[in-house]
Amino acid sequence: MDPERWKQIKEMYHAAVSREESQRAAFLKEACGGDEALRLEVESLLAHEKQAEGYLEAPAIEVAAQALAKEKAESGPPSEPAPSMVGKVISHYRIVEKLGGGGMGVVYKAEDTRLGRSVALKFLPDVGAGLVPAQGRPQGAPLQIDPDALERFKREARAASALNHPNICTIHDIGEFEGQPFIAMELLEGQTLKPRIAKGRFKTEELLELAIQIADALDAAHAKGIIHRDIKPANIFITRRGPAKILDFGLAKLMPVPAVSERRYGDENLAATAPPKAHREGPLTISGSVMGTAPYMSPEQARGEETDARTDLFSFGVLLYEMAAGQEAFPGDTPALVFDAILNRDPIPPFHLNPDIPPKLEEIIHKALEKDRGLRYQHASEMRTDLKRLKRDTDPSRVGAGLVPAPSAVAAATGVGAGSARPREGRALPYLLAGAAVAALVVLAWFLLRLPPKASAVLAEKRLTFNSSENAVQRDAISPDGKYLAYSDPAGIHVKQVSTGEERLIPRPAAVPAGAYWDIASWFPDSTQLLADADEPGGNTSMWAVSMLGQSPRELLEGASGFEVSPDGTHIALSPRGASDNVREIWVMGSQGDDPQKVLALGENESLHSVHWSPDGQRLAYIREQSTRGKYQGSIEACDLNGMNRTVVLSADPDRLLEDFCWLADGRIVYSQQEKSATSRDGNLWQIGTDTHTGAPTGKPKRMTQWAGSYLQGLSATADGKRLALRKTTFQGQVYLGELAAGGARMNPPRRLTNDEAEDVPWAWTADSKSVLFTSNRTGPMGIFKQGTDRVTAEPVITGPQVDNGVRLSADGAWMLNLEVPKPGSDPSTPFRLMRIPVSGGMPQFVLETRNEDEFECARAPATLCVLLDAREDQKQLTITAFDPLKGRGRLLRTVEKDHTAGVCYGLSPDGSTFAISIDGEAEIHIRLLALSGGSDREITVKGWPNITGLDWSPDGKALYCGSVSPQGGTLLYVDLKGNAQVVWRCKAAGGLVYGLPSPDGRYLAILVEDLNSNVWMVEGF
Amino acid sequence: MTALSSHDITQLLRAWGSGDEGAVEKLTPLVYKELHRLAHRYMAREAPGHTLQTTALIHEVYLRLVNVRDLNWQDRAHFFAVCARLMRHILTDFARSRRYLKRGGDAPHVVLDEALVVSRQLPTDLVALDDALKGLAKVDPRASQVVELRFFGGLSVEEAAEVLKISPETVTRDWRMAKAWLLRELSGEAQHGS
Repeated sequence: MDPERWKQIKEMYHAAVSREESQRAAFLKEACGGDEALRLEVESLLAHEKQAEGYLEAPAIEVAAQALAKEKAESGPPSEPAPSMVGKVISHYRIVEKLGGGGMGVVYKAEDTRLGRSVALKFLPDVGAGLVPAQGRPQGAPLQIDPDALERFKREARAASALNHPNICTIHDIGEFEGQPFIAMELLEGQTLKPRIAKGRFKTEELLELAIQIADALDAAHAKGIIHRDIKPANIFITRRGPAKILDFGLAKLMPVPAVSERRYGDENLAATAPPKAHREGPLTISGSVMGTAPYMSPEQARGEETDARTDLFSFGVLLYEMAAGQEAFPGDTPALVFDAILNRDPIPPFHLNPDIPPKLEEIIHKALEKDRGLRYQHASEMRTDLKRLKRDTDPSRVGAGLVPAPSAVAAATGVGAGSARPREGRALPYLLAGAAVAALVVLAWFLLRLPPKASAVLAEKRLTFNSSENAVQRDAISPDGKYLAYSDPAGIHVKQVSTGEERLIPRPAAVPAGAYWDIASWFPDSTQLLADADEPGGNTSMWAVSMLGQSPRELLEGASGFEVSPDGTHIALSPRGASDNVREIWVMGSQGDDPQKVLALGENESLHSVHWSPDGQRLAYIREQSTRGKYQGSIEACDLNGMNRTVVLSADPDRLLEDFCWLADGRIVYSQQEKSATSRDGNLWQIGTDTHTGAPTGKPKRMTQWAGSYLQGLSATADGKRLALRKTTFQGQVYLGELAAGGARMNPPRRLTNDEAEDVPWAWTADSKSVLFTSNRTGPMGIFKQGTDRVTAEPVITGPQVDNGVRLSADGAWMLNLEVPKPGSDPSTPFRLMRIPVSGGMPQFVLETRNEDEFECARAPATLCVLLDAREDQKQLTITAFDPLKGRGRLLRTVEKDHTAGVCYGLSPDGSTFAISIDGEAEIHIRLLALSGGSDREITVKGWPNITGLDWSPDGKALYCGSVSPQGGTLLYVDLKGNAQVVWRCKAAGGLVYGLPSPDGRYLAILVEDLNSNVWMVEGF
Repeated sequence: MTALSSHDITQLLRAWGSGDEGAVEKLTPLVYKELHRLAHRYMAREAPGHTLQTTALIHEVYLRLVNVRDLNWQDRAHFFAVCARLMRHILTDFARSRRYLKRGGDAPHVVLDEALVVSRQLPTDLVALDDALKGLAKVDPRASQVVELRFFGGLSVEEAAEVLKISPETVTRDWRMAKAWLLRELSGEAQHGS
């Protein structure tokens, strides 16, 4: 169309649209002046004007998503027993109709032909799928049911069927149809709590009515030792006739549990319609620990620990919270966020969401939601009592005006006499007014008292970064004025405005290569300049001053890395080595990189990290670690700027590991330490007062947090000491399995073998190459598990703290070997004990004693050699000694001078002839091949690959699998004995892969992938 | 395991923006993933009054795809334009692959279930709309761009104005008339030549 013409049409159209509808025709007739084509064109467009109003208002993706939702809803589950089930007779049940289906199975209404009653038959989706690999099963192949799993299921269901309680859905019978187990249970009419809860919060009476029934049911079940483990709205049924019923008691443990994300987004509607296949793919039954449904899970479930009755009480608390507050207690868009909320955050006080909620109810919910189960309600009966008492107290027929639900308690709390606070009925007007005024005061006081609940104990937390594991935060520092957070990740250094979240990237200087770490070290006191570190592979380090005001970064010093800028900005504390190296010295220089001077040098077996200035800039504090016999003892110490007048602020408990600290303006030192437990890595904040001049402690350490599951590092505080930034870091090891090709030099894309939220670390293959042995804390304490390459679940072999350090396999594959570490705090002369455990499980048996935490490894049959490696840091030599799993210690094979720092990676060749050991602190991987049975040593260099993370021999002894890690992620290499490397796999996770263990038959690699998550949080109110 | 990073996505968008058709293949699964996510949310929706806030939604989708703040592009506007065009491309293809959004042919013209439609909208046939929009582009390229940005890109009037460097009022006028034009086109009453 002619643009001129179109312009004309457009103008005419807009002119007409701006007029009243009734005027438009007349207007057009006149305005078009006889141009009939123009008039008709505009008229025809105007005819659609009204309709156009709401048209296309929803974005296209929504339109498409709705269509898709519709499609999914219509297609339904393709592989369920289908409508043809109706009319069938199964055992003595005749199927009448299908009632529904869901993640927990398909439910039919059926007639019990023997007893002539109606029942509900529930077919469980693939019980036993927990022991059948979903991936390994050809599509469409019949599901194999593991007889053991089926048996366990039946046992559990039978136990649950013993429950006879008006508020528990009764299980009548357990049966099996064509290998598929089913449950015959009470037929209920009504609906679950789920749609009701979605409609909004409950009235208090309604809530209490229901809650008491649930508490009663839980009490009855718990008394019989049956735990539900998946209390949630979809499992509470409100019958049409009144009583509530808890569904699926005790079944959670044996149900294949869908991936949490599926559950969460799936919701009930989806669960009812999505193909069951989707639900087979998730982490299935995990022996010992049980996954519930993410938002209702207890902290112990979220951590994969053993569950008990208190687990149900937590989930019940979550349910009560949602009923009272009208929203989820632990919301989050992803399972990770939900878990984080469950583990680390207190929900918004329900009172803030529902001002009508009685304080006592809030208290009950709060107590049920205690993260530490020791502090929670211990028994359902206690909870029931509290709920019943509250019901009595809030009964409108008992309480006068009902404005303040528990007036006496409130009045007592505010110091107002109970008598005067209670509104009086039937008195003269002045009294009423006075009463109302007092009541108003009471309510106000109640508000004020409640707003900061336990103010001194509750820290306000705010998450500042949202990095995925692929770009985990490396370092961080909050600006002295508290306005900015600087943090670094693989993309570089970012500066984020704390209030708005706006951020920008500080470009790395041209001189800093892309493969180097480029990290924030500290702020200058004016909050406009940063101290940054560049760390190239191979140990080239440099310190830089970076201005926020646009000047390009300035190099201050080469060959050093920065600790912190002094509070007055005139000096910088630094290390003459890379930040990751073993640091023993503190230096101080001028802020322009001038005049570096050594302040402190520690002794041989000591190292230091986390160096911070005192608030007055007169002292430096640091964490000192002393290593004796491979064990570390940490302390926070301080010295003056001449390295003199050293004081010990704090010595860490032997079972706690100091991570980082910061020194606040008021002299307090806030520090983080990790509690060493077998099950988790719980970092928590503590504080201790100090005299800033002497650095001496002025009080006892006080614990500030009760967090779990993450390391706390990168502590920095604002100049006024009111805000603190820190990194919460979690590592999660997972075992991947990849099939090797090309003689072991290539690998097909690997898949995840372990599938849980626990820390899983592979140690060895069984001699038949069929199973991987790995350590995991999935059931709470650390244990050894065995999982077949074609299995999706693992079987426990042995559990207990003695296997913390992992296992190796004897040459004949009959024994697992592990080194028992003396208990923390035991006599320093207590020896380490090397133990052997039968591969099939059983009691550990003694092999030999050693004074040190030695490394050890065995060759593979037909060779018989096992070796102990003593590579202590405080030793000038490295020794290799033979031993036999049955006979104990053998002869000394080699003594090697430690001309290089012997690294953490080592491996004995399968034939026992060569011991490979990595050498640290080089730009490229160096490996020494030590000859154990004659011949000469060799050294190989893996060109172009830095930072070795793992070293394992190929089964034919012709090559090594080496892990290499850089800021871009980890790479697994196949390195021949000349040092030629081929890339086997690249892993993008920030923690990267750590190593790859080949199976003895050379077919597979079991790979340890460490998933590292690290994000910055801000803490206030301490 | 091999999820694309925000950086990769930015690169792909850039490549696609400068004519690399191959980039679409890598971006499509991401958009599809978002689609499925949204679909799940629609299905999970229970209370009738509980509708998703669409503008927030689409921004969330973008943010999931690309961290806009990380973009080195001086031109945020350009990014939005590329995204909108990409969405049009991918969603139209998606619709084309589905019988219920396909127009003509042997398949019956099935429209969306009213019950599932959030507001007072007319059913939308994405494939037909895409065709009609091509027609509009010949007549009024700017108006067609407005539709692309607003409908496929999910941009607000202000954002579309920012991209096209015109006033919000002009966007509103173009938008309004374009919709009328498209409806007429799709209702089969078209009478324009070119």
